[in-house]
Amino acid sequence: MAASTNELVQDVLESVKKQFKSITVEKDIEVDVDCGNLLVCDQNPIDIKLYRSNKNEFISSLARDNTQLLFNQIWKLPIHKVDDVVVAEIPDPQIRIPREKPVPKAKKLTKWQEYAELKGIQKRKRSRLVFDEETKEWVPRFGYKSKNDLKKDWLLEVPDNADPFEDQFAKKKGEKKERVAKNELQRLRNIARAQKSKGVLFAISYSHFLLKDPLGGYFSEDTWDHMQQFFDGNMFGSFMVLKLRKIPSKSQIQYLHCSNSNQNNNRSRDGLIPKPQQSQDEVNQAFHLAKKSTASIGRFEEKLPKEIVEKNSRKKRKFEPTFGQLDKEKDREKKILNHILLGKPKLDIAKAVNKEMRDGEVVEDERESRRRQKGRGSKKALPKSVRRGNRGNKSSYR
Amino acid sequence: MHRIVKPKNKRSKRFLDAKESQIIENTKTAMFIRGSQTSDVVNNALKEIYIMKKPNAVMFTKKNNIRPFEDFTSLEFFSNKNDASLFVFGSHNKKRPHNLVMGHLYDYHLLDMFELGIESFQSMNSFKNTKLTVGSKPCLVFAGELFNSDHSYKRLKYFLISKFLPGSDGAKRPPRWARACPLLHCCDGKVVLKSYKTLLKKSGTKTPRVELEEIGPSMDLVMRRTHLATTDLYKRSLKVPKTAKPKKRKNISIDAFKTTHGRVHMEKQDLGNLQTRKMKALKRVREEKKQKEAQPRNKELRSQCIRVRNKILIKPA
Repeated sequence: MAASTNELVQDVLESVKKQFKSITVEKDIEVDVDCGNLLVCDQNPIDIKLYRSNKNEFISSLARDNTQLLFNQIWKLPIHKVDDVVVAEIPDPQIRIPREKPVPKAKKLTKWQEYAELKGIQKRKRSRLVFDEETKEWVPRFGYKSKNDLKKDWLLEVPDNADPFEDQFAKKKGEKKERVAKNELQRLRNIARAQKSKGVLFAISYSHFLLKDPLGGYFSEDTWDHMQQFFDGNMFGSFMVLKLRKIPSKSQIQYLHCSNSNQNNNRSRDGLIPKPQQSQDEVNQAFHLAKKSTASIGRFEEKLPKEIVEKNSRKKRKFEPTFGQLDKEKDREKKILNHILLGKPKLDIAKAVNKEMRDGEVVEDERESRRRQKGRGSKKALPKSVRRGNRGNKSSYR
Repeated sequence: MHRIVKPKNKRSKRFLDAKESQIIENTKTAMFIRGSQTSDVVNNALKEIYIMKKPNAVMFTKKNNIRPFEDFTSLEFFSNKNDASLFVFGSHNKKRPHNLVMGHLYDYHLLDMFELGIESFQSMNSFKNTKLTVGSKPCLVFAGELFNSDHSYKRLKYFLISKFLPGSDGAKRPPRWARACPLLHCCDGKVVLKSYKTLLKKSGTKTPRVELEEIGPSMDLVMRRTHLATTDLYKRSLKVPKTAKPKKRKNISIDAFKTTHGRVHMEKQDLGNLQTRKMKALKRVREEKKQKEAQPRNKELRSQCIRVRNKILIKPA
């Protein structure tokens, strides 16, 4: 009896199984299933003969098999109910996808925040409304219809020592304005403090600057790290937006180039190609070129501290208009004529004054040095104990 | 970033806050742009990819005379304006007929850009099946060796993943969600893009049997020109912020009734110094004290005494 029931059960099960198609899929190379992205990557080579014979069917069967594999994986995930909906807990994605925006940096604290942190002052929530004792009403803490609303005052007391003709209303308004302005100034100052370390901004086409890599724009991690000593910034496509912190010195530049393995000795007109020996002049030239490579030909670029003046800068010559401005021309000619006719050397007052002052100083210095030689000599030459003794008169009396 | 000009009202502040970079990012939005000349095929392709991407997509109504491979600055500008980091640009001319330029941006600057020519196109309308619902989550299938071996195809794969990526609405999704299934399959140097609807059938087991029904659009694409970001830039765009990963909570568990249980590890207690109940009867009498004083001062003996006392204390249970 028991055997027959078992057979019966198995028969039923098999007949049920025959009703349904199987969910197993076999592949030569195991398929990468990324449940986090709901993604399947099938690396198996495609049978081109089959593909060409019946394109649509082949693709749909391929797609079905792969989705089946994905669904098999998903159904293995832990499942629970949230508001009568069955929900699978999907793991973190395996394949990383580029971000939309860079990772947010921590904001620099404002001066007050820094102070509060130091002192352990906690921010506390203040209620929006406060109770006004005079009117027995709840009024806003600040702003329109608040207790301190300037529009509310229709009468103001003139203080004892105040000028009776002073407008107290205007004074109060002015004070308020000043407070607002002070707050704004402090806000800007905080921003400036946060920006201070970032230096001057440059947009540098990196095909123009010393940072070009002969491999075609691929930087090694190492090089980038070294470069970050000098720049804050990012590389975008063929452009590098850089904030130059300081001009790298000769040896530092050399170091940068050495860390780039492949070197090219060709010097191109439009920039600097890295090589082991780079002269300061070349770097300077490239730097100035990069600076000029903005839409406004570098007209609005800020100067760096200790920036070296460009050599052989091709200044654009400016010509006077050929007609129309006779007065200017007349004045210029007149000036030259006057200068010649006077026959005196031109006196630059500023220069003269400077010279006079310098001469005076030199004379003073000479006198001083002579006095020192004649005198007892410098104090430093004497031993310490003697010096101490000379300082206080009292001790010498004893 | 510090804003120098303060937003005038709450609404604009909220807008700017949403635009700022976040640790956990929102789903990327895509812009659909038509070039100065477009063919019917390109128009339809744009429209239908737009439908697939819909809640996170912007369709430009006017034509834009852009040549992305010559100057992509206007794309970057659009990206900034719309706060969108994906774009699909369609154009059609004699040299490159039925042209789609797709790409993604990082921090409003171009990352990768692919020019794909449409060889054959079948619209959604040509399939008589039911359409997919807006916002249904797609699962992607990439088949073919090229997607793993070739550098530019690999990048194309990652781009397409980021394009069709289901929205990151937490880690939980119902398993019966997936309706669309764009298949990207690479053969003969062509990328075949198809989309299906998944039908879940009984299989006799818990896991359902999957059947597919084609809903369109389907296209054969040929790679033309590419613009790939430098490896360095690409690497930086992949950076995962430290804070995005949740910290592991140790020794804290929540049971079925949602009460939190904590496990505390303690040092071994010294039961010798345990304070038992204070009772008058247990107090030392004067004589006892005297006795204790009279005890030998030998350290060894005293320690022995203490040891004995401890044993007694531990024993009573």
